[in-house]
Amino acid sequence: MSDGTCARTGQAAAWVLGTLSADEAERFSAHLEVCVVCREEVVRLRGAVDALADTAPPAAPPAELRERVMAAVEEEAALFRAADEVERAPHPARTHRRTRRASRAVLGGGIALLAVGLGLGAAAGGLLSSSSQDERRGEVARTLVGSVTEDGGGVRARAAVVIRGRVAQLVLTDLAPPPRGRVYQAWVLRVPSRAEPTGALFSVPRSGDTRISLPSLRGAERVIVTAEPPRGSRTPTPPPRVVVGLAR
Amino acid sequence: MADSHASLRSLSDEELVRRSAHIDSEAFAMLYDRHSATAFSLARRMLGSSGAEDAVQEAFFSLWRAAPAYDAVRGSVRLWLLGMVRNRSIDALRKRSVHERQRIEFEALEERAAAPDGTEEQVIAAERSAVARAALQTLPPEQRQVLELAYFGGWAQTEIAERLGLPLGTVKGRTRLALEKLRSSLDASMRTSG
Repeated sequence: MSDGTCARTGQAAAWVLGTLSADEAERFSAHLEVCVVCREEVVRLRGAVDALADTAPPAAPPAELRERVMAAVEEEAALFRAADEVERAPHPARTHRRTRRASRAVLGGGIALLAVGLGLGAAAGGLLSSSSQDERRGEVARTLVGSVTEDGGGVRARAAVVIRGRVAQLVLTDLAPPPRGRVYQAWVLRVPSRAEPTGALFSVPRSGDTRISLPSLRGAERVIVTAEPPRGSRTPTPPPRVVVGLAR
Repeated sequence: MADSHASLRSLSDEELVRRSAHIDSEAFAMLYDRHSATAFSLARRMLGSSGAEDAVQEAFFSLWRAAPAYDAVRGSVRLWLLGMVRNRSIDALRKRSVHERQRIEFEALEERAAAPDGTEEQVIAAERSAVARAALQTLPPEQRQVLELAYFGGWAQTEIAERLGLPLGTVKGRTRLALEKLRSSLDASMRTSG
């Protein structure tokens, strides 16, 4: 590699095309982390792969497709804006009008809709009642969206920490099940080098959607989820599948 | 608060994704308008007339949800999106029979591009397509075949070797040469047009 060549550069084309076997792809991905020659080759060939999409015969997408995509996006955007609105409300006594509006658009169903939007289905009723209690107590909600690795379900999956008052929950949707013989374990990272187990060991139902109650997040930097042995671990053993940053 | 369509049009894909991550649905709509024609054409080329809309819908919704995780180091927004379209399409293809997949490939060979009489974005996509198709035509037929089977057919190298009755090494070599040559042809056409 020091002379600007690498014996494995020939694999770059198949890698960018996604035609390597899963094992080969994993090995080449690891190789890319350490080989600048292959990384440069990947960047160079990406342009050609990008152009391949343009060689498809042009076909105009139907207008209804845009309507469907944007309807789903607008629905979820409305839920998150609603959550933000609740978060921004500084004090219930001073924001009576806002709270009333929120109670129609947000709390009267918004958080419940958030639950539905996140695919929680049956959990919606519980969130609705707790959010109504939150409204009476004047507590506000924060939703912090995290990321899920490919093993955990990739871009199809979604992770968020929802904080209302002193109550924090990890909301997971479309999460891939843990490997055979493992369970998921949630951790709170208060300083970068120290992961504190939450006591939450869980698998996921067939739907891939679940909610996990979290301990106090005071001083926490992030919440992570790892796949651990059945009884859990004292410290995280594999890399996290879910990471939600809290410092925002 | 919302930007006008015209001002959003001037923004880069990266900025539109950044805004989408902050729940700006109008910025996301601009991304849709900019890339949906290519995304749909790709899905239709891979899946035929059935399933393309679902693949594109799923890919755009994944883009919306994953916007906060976008990392420019891993490639452009367009490449990311089209990768999602392709992955969804390959998932759908793998549920189909080999015969059905071969029928789609045959139909694609028969299909000729018709310039869509549509939006400005669709016209731009059609122009890009003409350039890319011309570059693809510069490849020797055996290299083009391997590339199209891999990219549009979603076949693994071992499957392509088996299907064409070629040694795996030959398929690997043709794939690499095909992408290299396509890259060179595109560079040459850019120099000519530039």
